[in-house]
Amino acid sequence: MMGEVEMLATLLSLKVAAVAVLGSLPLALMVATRLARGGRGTLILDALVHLPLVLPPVVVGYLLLITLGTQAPLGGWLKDVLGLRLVFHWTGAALAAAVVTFPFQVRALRLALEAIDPGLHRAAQSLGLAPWARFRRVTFPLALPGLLAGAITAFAAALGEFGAIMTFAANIPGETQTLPLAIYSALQTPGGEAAARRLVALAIALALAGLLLGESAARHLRARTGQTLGSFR
Amino acid sequence: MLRFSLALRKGDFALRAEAPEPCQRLALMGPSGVGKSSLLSALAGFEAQTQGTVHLGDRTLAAEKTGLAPEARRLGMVFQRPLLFPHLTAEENLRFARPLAPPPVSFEAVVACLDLAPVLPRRAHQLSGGEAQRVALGRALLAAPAWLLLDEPFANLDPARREAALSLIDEVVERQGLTLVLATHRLEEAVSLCDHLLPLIEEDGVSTGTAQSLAQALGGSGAPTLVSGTLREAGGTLEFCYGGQALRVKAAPFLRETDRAGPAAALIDTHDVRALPPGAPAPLGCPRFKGQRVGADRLCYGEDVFTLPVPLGPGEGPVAFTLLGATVLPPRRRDAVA
Repeated sequence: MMGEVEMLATLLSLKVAAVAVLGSLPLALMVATRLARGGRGTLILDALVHLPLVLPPVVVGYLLLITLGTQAPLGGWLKDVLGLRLVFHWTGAALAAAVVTFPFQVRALRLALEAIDPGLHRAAQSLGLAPWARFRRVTFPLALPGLLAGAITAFAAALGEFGAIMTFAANIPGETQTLPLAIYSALQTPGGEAAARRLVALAIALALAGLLLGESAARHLRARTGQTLGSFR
Repeated sequence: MLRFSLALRKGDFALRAEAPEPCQRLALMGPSGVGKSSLLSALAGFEAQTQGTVHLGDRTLAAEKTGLAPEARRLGMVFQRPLLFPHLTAEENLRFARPLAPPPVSFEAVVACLDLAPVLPRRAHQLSGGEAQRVALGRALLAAPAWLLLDEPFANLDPARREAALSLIDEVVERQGLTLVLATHRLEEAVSLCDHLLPLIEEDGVSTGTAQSLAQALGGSGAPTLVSGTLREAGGTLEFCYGGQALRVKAAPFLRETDRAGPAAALIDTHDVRALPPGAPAPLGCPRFKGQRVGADRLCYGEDVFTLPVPLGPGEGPVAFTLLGATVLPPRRRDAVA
């Protein structure tokens, strides 16, 4: 049976991961479009985007803390002017997860965008489509398998994010205590092994379901268009 | 009516072409790689490095430094590849453009003329090369274009469908008074559809060409005729003239340059030689011209002048010829032909 702690942690994890992925999607699309176009500055931008992948998540959390913490100028401004407090709040957990999983989304999208035949943009232009219409009717549908694959990988990774959330948003049951943090807390509690085991099983099941769902949806979309590229791999 | 004067420079490639007189049906001819597709691309506005002017009727599409974006040029373009949208069916591709004006032909007419009914529900990757080419042509016609820019639109079509596609384009261009620019290797297509010809020739590393009327380009009957850029493989020009009972094809310098060491050799396909009816002028303004095929399917010579014997019936006078193509043979195949 799932206890209250497990239930809370699971629902919170799903919420945090969903907000992290959906919230960063537009930016990921913009960055991937810029990277796929190539040209000056691509190398630097590419390195910056991938930085969270190679940095220890604790470092990402710490960087967020010193820029967006309530004592920091930007964090203070957000709190005083917009009434937005990210530290010790689930939105902070979502932001931390979004930063850490951002490279997964950008990478998959970039591959998908680069796999689109540039001639198709010319064909669309020759048929009278302005830039926004070209994006909506050609680029976006063709990048959709990559977008989906990237989003689901990022979602699964966000479910498992630990270090950045712990450092930036802390470990507050019901507020910022996602599945991995709940597992950690259970292991720290005497006699909490049983609860930890249940949480671990939940985490594995959720991550696996996410990955399978994402890959099968992307496969289905790719088969429709005869594409072979655009996977997150 | 199209008038233009363009210069394009892309890396090592340079192109200068002009059509000083307004022309309605223009054929671009020249060997592979000379820049026919680039010229079409520049006319359509796809080449950012283009300088010059393009006038279509009383519209200015490009002036010295500025030009309309391709999507504002009301193109009906068929590219060298079909470029169908892979996430859509053939029917969705045909209906892709949402033009403000009604298209020159109805969807149903396009489907019927190009024999597309069986492929409508299929996606792009499920179509053969010829089917995809026909869908691309239909898609361009249904975009209600002000002009048609076609890059080898018949390349993948079998003879019957090629004839049908040719008729459809001819009819649409005639009925709607559209302007047509056709890049092709085949003089037959140029002669069938166009009244002006722009032979592109590479000179000193720059591809150049000026549009002229077909009559000027091909010369009248009775005089030696110059045809440019009909070679399929090696590139270059062939000069040919007729006299008596032989067609003499004079090899241009490229032939000698391709192989200085040994004799040059070429293969001319019978399908590429057409004899006009006796006494007829060169096939000007004569769509659907069908000549009689001349015998002799191969010839190769080590000289500058090739001779192709032409069987003439008793009492038949001088005959005009159109040479539609020739293939320069690689050295290893020479012995087989000789």
